[in-house]
Amino acid sequence: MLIRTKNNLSAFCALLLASLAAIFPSCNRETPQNMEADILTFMIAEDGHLMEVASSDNVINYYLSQYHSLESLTAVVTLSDNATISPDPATVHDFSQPVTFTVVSQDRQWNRIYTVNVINTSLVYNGDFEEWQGTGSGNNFYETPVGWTSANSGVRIIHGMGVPNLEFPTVKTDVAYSGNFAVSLNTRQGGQTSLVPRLIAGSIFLGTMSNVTLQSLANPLLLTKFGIPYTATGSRPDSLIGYLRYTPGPTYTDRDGNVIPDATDSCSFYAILFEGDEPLDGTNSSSSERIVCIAKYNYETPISSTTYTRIALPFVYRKEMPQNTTLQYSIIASSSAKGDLFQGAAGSQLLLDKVEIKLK
Amino acid sequence: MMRKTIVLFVATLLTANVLRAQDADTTVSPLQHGFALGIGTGASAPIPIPNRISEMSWTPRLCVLVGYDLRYQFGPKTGLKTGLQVKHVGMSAEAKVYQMFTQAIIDESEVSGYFTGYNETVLHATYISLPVQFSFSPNNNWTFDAGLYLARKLQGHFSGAVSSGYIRITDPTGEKVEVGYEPFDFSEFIAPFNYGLEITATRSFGERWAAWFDLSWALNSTFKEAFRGLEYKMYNIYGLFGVDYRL
Repeated sequence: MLIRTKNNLSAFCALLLASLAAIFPSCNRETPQNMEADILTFMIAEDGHLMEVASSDNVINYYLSQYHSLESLTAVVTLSDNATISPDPATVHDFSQPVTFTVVSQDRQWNRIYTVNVINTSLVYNGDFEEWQGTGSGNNFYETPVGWTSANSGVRIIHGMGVPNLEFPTVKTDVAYSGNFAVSLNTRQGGQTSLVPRLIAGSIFLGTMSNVTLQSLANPLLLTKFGIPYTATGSRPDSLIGYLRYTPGPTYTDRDGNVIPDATDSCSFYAILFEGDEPLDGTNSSSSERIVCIAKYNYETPISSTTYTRIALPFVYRKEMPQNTTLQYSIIASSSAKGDLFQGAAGSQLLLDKVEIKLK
Repeated sequence: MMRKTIVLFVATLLTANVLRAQDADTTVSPLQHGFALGIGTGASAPIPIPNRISEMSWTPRLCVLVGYDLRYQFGPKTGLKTGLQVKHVGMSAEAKVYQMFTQAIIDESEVSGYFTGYNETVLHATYISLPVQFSFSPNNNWTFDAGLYLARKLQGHFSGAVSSGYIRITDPTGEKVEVGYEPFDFSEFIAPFNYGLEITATRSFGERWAAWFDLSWALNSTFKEAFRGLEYKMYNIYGLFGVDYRL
């Protein structure tokens, strides 16, 4: 340790304190051991695409950027300083099923369990929302459809900030169009303070969450990182198809909580294909110049609140389909179209099932 | 109100004793009294300093003492000392901390977890303190006093900020939330009472004047039990020096 005085106000007093320090009860000055147990980055060695893992993720969805057989792959990870992982990711694993890794902190007191899904498809994976994985425990337990990302981890932070009973906005439902399950996106009433948003819309997307800052909790546009590798080389997206059921909440409010009479909430549902290695976020997901084409629900087809409505949206091209560049795509849905601006109606619910992108 | 009462009390005590001192002018009274004025510095610090604090820079603040001393000699070398002191103490400190449990109230939201980054704090408080000490005077020049003090807080301020780091919400495996600069104010958590050990060394210079050095070391935390902003207790440790004027 270093104790230094900032000025020479009183050399005598510094001397005094130094002599005091000499009689402090046995100072424990060992270097503290690291308590963190994170996977910071993950890469399938054979694929070579390095993925940053947000601290909130216990599930890693690794989309292969090129075709590999899933049965025998090795992984490269970076961990919190001096943490250990088992089993060894560098040995060959069969990723045709989810693989679980346990990271233990240097002080051996903390551990995190990660589930890794390696996904190898040029089509939308788990667009029928039949496969789900749970993470967390107690109040903090939530489920996510395999391959997809929700903003539920942000709600877990809000739980840690004195709002422990806030329900997760993105949940599993058995009110399905087909199969056993669909995803249910719900706009929840949030908190009263500036750090806890007043409205929290349910969302689901293809991409990852970024690490949170206190400011970004109140500005969730920056938290979502959209995009997974687009690997359907030789084909191009033609239309986005999904089955939706939507019930707007009763009272529409603006970001300050003022009721806007006669306004009705609406959902958002869109897909983008874009160029580049970097993801897009909520601020530029429909405006970026990197976007090649976009298919967006524009409220023309009314969506029933009691039965599923088939929505088919053509991709509108903003530029020629590029050749020989990295392409990414994402599908994004939310229970309140302006939820990212904290406008909407608490209680709005979007059920979504059987999502796919038709290629041509 | 409290302050006014105390000032009044001290004034009454002074008047009474000044009068008595004048009466007993010709004989050596076992009772002596006087004013003390002192300055110094110190810290409110965790003992031992936790190893989660990797670097610390401490800025002394000028501490001031104004007091009234009462001394009763019951033997040639032994006696008792008491009095009333108004002490203003304080410090500021900056620390680099590593995964230290903390709690912050930011915009009414309570955030607790393990913080890594920089922490700056400013603490100052005014106490009225009642020392009760045994005296030992090995010779005419020196007197050593040792005993306890009990202090009541008159006012207190404890604020600061966490910056340039991140907090893991709830526990070290929780979500990592980056912290740019978040101020906090925990003034309300300064404990109303403070008690501890106090030792004083006094060197006389003639009949009236003396110079002294005084060290007080709290035995209870500067903060209330309910304070969870830090996982360890902080203790007031202050050293002052000054002069006595015997009446």
